[in-house]
Amino acid sequence: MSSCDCRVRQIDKMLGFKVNKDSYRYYLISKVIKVLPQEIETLRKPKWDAVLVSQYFSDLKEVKKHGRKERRNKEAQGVLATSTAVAAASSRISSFWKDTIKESAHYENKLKIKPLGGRSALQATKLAHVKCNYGHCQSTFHPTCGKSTGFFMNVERTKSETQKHGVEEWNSLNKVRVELERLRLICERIIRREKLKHELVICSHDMLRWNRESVCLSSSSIPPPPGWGLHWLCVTRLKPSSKDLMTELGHQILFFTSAKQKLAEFIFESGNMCCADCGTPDPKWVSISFGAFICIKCSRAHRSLGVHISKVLSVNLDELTHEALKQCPYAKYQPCISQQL
Amino acid sequence: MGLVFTRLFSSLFGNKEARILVLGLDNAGKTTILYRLQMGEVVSTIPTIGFNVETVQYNNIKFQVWDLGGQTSIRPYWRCYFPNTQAIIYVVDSSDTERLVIAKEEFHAILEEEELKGAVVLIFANKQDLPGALDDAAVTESLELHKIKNRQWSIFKTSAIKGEGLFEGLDWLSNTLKSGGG
Repeated sequence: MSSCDCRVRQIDKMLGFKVNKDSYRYYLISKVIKVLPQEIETLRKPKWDAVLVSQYFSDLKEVKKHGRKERRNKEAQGVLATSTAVAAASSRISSFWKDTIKESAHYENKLKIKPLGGRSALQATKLAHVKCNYGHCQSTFHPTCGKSTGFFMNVERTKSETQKHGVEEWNSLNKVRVELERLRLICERIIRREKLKHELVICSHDMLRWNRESVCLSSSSIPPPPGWGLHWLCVTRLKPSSKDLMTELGHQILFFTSAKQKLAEFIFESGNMCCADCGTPDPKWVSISFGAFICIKCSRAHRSLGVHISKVLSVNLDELTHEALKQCPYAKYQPCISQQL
Repeated sequence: MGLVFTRLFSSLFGNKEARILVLGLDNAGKTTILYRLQMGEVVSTIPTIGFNVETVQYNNIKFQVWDLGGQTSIRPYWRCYFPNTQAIIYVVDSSDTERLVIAKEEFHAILEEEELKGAVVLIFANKQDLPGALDDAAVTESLELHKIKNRQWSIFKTSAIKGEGLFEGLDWLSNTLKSGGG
């Protein structure tokens, strides 16, 4: 019996010891739990400071960039290069920041769960299931209730939310900026292209005007009759509208170029490369009554006819002005030439 | 020295020399007149680029006749021939009425020249054979010859093709030069 009593006493002792130990353990655990959030807070503080400082620096950078951009507004290509470079860099930075913040958030969550779990061990039976014990609040988690009960989670969450939002906003702003830059460059390119087009249009208008002039003069609707060869100009002048045509032409010539240059250009037209009478190439004289290019030898015959029949002028040595062309009284020669025909 | 004797001899025997310029617009008939005077023939001429020079002996005067091209761009070169000129023959195409204004302007520009101050002026209203040619009176009016001051001048109706009026003009010229004009 005594041995039995002795054993029971031993067991009691041991149990008491164990209970003591347990209580001590619990005491220690509770102590640790009490201290832990403060420690976490102190640990987190420098981190937040670093985040804020880095954000401030990035803001400063952006502002500087904006200033630079405004200054170099006109140097589109340079800005493009820098902007792309900056965009790439910023995306890299932002991703880096994102990663670090994610990491920190993850770490925070981990830490958060621990104290919650720790405290819930005192307040609730289950670790995972966090229940609000304020009044008769039934929600699993209520930020305001949590705050009132001394839960710091709410504060942290808001902090991390703003941080996350800021990063996102920054990234989105960056993206928008890059997009806008791209748009601006596209607009500039379009403007440049339009300018070029405008110039081309002006150029083509000039060309058209030239063409119209030459068409006006040659009146290519009437082909030169066989045998007449180079007297086609004369033939076209027999048209009733020819006088108006010629006065108009005279005005045009006066406006655009001297008549001499115009005449020199006519020589290079297909029919005028050789003398109208003998076929000698490169005629340098023109009978403005007939509108025919002739060589100097054939000009002899033309000149001997008198100016009332053939008025001979030199392409090089005479100044064929607007007045000179006007002087050609084509209407006067109409009966004469029609008799010849 | 020989030149001096020659000149003395010729002046003694009345063999005078005269340097004459034939001027006028292109296609007025200057070259035709020159060869008509020199050879007495009608030659069909090509436009003169540069000049033709011939010596014509008439009334004991040796005319050295310079025929200059009349194209617009070579007219400014006329002034190169102006020094030592005793007489000018200004040829006008009487049938080219439209260019009489230009002819008048050119003519008065010549008269303004300092080097031609002492030169006598003979005007040929040429191409009288052509229909519609103005007579000498009309050409006188067109060229405003009445404005000429301190200078001996005369106008003749000529036709280089027919040979009319040319030697009359030359007669007047030789008489004027002999009498000390120019």
